[in-house]
Amino acid sequence: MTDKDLEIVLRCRSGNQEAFTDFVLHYTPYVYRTAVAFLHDRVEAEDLTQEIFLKVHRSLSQLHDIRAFPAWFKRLITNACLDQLKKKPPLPTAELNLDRAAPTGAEQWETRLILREALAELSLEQRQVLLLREWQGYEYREIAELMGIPLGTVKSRLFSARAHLKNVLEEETDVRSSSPGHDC
Amino acid sequence: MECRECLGLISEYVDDELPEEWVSDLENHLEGCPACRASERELRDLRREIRGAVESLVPPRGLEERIISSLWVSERKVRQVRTVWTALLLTSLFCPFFLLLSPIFAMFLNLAYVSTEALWRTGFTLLESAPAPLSLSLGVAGLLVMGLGGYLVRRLLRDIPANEVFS
Repeated sequence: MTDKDLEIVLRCRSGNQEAFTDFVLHYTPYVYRTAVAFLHDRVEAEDLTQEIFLKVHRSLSQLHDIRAFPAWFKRLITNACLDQLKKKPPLPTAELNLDRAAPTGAEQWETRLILREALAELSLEQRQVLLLREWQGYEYREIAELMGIPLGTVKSRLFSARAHLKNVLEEETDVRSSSPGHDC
Repeated sequence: MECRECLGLISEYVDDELPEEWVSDLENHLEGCPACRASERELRDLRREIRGAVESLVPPRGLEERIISSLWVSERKVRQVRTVWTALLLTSLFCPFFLLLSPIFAMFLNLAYVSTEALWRTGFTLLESAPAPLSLSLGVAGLLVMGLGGYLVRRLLRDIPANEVFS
């Protein structure tokens, strides 16, 4: 957490509207990305992002220790995403409407696109565990607690999810290396 | 340690979640096994790729503005509901006192009524006794003042800040 973040959060806690606008501008990309990664539905992710900021606005004043803000904020986002998934599990055919235009670094963009599609193919449970670990950075124990599952299940889901994604990336690498554009 | 065993533990090792007693065995195996080392590297690359894939999601244009405006609308609604509930609560709390003091309030109301009536009567008597043009202009001016007062009260009740009402 940088000094700038700290300053924004401190100003927000004092009820400053302008500071909360800065807060929203600063954190929207992170909250939105997390919501899309979990829900795989851009419209729902937008609604959830709004809800999350509303919750933050209402409960930020209850946060006594400002240093606990990153963990508190991360937990709030994670719980909101997991609750939303419990309320309304995504349809198997839910479309992510990925950005298919490649602005720069076409190869890397393609890899990311494939990876996002592969993430969507994972089972809901595997994807949740994987994102909690790789994107949110939670420890196994914390994931088990958040999802209410045994530690062993966390490990096995993570292992299977990674194996699936590794296979997808390997297949993509094989396709690329066998394509005429990569002969040189 | 066998490769099969090592591959089963690499995931935990990469996450720094492997129990201490296994770490040295696994690291020894990794030093001597290029295939398992490649698997470990792949897992670390995969983590980077997953983060990159999520970071490459771009929020739609104008999302921040929509969030901010909906937030203020919603907060305003919450404040209004809170005000109504507070008013109801205060009214219910003070109801017994109002009932207890109602004779005094009735006396004050009566006094206000009597004095207002007296003022009206005096005003009309003065208007009647004044010359016709003066009495007419005073009557019109009075009506205008009453109209302006009504307009200002209406704007204030519509939640427009006082400084804007009087500007």
